[in-house]
Amino acid sequence: MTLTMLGVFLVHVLLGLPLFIALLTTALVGFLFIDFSMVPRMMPQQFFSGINVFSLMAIPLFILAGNLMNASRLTDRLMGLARLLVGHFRGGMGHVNVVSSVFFAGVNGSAVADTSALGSLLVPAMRKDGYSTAFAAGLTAGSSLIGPIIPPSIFMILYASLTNTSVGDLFLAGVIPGLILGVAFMAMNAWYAWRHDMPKQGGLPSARALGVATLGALPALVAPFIIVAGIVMGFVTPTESGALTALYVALCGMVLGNLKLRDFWQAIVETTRLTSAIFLIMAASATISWLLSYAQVPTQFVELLTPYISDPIVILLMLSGITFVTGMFMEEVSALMLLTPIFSPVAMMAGIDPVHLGIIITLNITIALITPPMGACVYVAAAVSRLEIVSLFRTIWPFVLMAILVLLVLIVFPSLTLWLPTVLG
Amino acid sequence: MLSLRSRSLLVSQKATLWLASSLLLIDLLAILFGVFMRYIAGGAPIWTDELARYLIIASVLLAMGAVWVEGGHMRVALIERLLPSGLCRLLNVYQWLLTLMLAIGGAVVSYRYAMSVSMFTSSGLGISRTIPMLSVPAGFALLAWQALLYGPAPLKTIAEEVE
Repeated sequence: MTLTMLGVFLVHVLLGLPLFIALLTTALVGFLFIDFSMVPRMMPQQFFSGINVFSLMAIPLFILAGNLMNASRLTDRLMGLARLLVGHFRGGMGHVNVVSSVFFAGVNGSAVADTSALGSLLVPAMRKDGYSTAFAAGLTAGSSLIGPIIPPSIFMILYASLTNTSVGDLFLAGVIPGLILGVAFMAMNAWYAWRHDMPKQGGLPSARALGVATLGALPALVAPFIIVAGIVMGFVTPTESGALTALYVALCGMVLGNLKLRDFWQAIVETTRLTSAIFLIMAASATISWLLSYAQVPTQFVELLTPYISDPIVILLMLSGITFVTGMFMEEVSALMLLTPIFSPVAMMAGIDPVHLGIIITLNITIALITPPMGACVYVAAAVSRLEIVSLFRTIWPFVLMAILVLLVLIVFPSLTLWLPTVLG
Repeated sequence: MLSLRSRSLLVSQKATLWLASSLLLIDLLAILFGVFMRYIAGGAPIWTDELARYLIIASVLLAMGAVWVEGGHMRVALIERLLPSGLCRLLNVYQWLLTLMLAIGGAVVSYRYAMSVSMFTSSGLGISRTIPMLSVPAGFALLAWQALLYGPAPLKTIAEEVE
């Protein structure tokens, strides 16, 4: 049954059907194996209950906060600060790209939004500084992976709702891995700049310029602290934090005079579009998740991995391998929805901390955003760079390998993820 | 000059997206109202969480058809670029027919299900469970209507939008 369902799903994805349609078709085929007469009752019930979860309501609100930040031109201020901080180094614009992604990640939990917002501005600027378009687009797509790792993160909220893990702990656990990822991509950029003998751009910024830029970007810089502190200290739920962040960014935009009512409405409409696309995949995936657990697939999976259960690192490597391959051929939200309920019992038996597992799965799923043939960030980076998708898929591999290297480091050293939640959680 | 079909599609697409966006805005206000009441007035009403959930679900489902027309739903459009035009047209017909059948089936099945839960009431708002559930058949019916108007034409993709 599982293999047939996988086959039906892959065929319909390759035939270009929207993913939620492909998932619903797959679910119908799954019901054929179990009992098709259950469709009128179970399909609408699972479809509805899959998205009827309060913590998931944080997702559109954080997307809205990100859209409002773009509309308020706070993104430009963050980029301006990044330019002053690292723009004077050799390969400065590449560093600006990565540091902007780190800043941007603090409000927006979506890698695709990061690629789209930063790519359209930074790829032309990098090209002007002598970078090849392929490397500039690759670095933009690669550094956007930081978005879902540094809080807030859509994937982490989804994982938390599936496993009853604390969103606050997950958000804290993502900070160090996100920064490591940033340092790794900056190292790649530095190597590229050194190899191509790129000149340094200008000198050190004056303390005054740095102060002015920091002050200008301050409204956006404090947002992540408000988000994480509010949740960790128990003042607000993740959903309320999302609403407050959206309100905060909107107020900043209005006070700074950059956000008009029309821009605000446009941000709401954009958020509605993306939310509909994401939530429909979640709803359809919930139906398939129910089918899989009804067919006892998670239990069978646990039995399959029982011989290796004594070694958490081996288990995490195996789960990562499966997630990597699945992520290549499946959209990220649906992959997360389907794999998490199957992986969770295995990880629990192996004694893996659910927060650590959450970060490993999130990073794995995030890497899938830049792997062929379905890496959404690569498609967006190619579109904003006016680059052939095939050539970008060819040049993206070093960035994928670097992200995998970071993943391996996190698997071997769980304290890198668990230290902050232990100290502050 | 737009044909009546194109005009109807455009109007229904804009109207549903406007309605769905309004629901999202109300959702934001409801959550903020809950936070405000808890910290300023000393106690949050119990219905805000439930209202927020139902509003988002309604927003997501009402926008389903409009986003489909715009090509906003995630999909892989690789094979359409590789196929010869005749086969591609055939593929477009299959994509359209499957979407239409699922939408009509989804609307009918979920409408019956929504009606079957009318005796249950929700815990927060105290309304019949049929009311929030009706957003599912409404969403699928709108998708069916908009897919009918759109016809078996090639689907748009997000990448085209970005370009």
